[in-house]
Amino acid sequence: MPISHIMASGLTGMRAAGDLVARMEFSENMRINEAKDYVARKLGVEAIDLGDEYVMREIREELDIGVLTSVRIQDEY
Amino acid sequence: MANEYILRMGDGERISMTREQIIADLREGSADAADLGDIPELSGDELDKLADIIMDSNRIVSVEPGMQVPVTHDIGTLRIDGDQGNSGVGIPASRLTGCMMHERGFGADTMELGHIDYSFKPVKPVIAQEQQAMEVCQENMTIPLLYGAMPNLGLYYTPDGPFENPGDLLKAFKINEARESIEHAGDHATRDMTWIMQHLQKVGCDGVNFDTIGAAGDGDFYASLYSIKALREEFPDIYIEAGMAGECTLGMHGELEFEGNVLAGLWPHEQVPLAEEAGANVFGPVCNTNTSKSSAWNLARSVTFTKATVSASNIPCHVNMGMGVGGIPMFETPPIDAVTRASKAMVEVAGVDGV
Repeated sequence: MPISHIMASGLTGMRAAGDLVARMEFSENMRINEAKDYVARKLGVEAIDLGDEYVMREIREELDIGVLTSVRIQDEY
Repeated sequence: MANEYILRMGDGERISMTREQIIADLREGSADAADLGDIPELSGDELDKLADIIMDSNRIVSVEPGMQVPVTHDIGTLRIDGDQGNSGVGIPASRLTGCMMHERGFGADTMELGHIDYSFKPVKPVIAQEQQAMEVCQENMTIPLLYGAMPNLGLYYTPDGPFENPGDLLKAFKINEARESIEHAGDHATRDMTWIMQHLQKVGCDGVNFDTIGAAGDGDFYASLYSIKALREEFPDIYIEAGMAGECTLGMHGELEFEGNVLAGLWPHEQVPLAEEAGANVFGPVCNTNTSKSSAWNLARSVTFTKATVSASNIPCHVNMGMGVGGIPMFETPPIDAVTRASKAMVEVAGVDGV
């Protein structure tokens, strides 16, 4: 059942930016739209991108804030 | 059947209803909440939106892109390794494994660590174990990790605890003695919950989820609010989620107050200002499911209560949507068609900040 909620309405955590939005709700009492706008502004994206795995994967790798699978081995190796 | 739609009863049984029957149930459910809570009914547009969600021809539905919200949890890792007639599925796994499965496998936005009993009181004798588990989990997690437990004032009464059971005292018309017992239990629970979280804060715990507040009535709510207040004063940055047990605070005592507000008989939109005043960051409103009514009736009723709560709140509201609350059927493995419809309705009609 919790997986159903995640799939139906969740921000999918570290797949996208769910953990970041959740932290703003918990740390600053921000309501959902304020939290999304704040995180989006910090990341330089639109609010709709916060639930987009494709957009967030690259941003999370660049900022080194955690991704769910291994980061590819760099060219020098 | 051609003009009928498949939906659920409050116990999860599959039924079929016509559009007219669904709309009638939606109106009736919303009106019931409005009457009980003295809050506005859903508008015609909102009822139409709910009807569209319920009558969607797909088995699974979801919110529109961009409408997603963070999801918090009830029992957390115990749904993986727990297996004692609750919602655990008995997979042999450590609690750390459970946390990591949720973060990395299931896409959880937040996670929760809890003791197998999931009540605060039994944590006291094993606090060092819980500190170790929390420390290791926090070190391996990126998403916010709360410690979840129930205030569960019932454990403070005989035969499980030191104070005489107020239910027995009330049956003997010993009203004052029953109230004294509730007050003693409340004070002990406040002390215990605060003590446990003080120790978990020492190992870097992100925060706490007070889950099923009020399950034992207003004494339960009283203890939780004063513990939240104490924790907020001592730890300004701790994450605190206050999730309720039921839609109406039962007046087992009847005269307990928090900062001058009587707790008995409060509905969700009246509970949230107190949670906020105590120092909670996130509030979890509840609306109970009636197993004898359709999911249309239950969902409209839940959305009506929740929308009023979201409107009355200055802090984020993560509506409780487990088995038997928030328009979800009262069934251990609730049908996914009903779960996803309720999830979408709460986000898009009630306007919740999370689930």
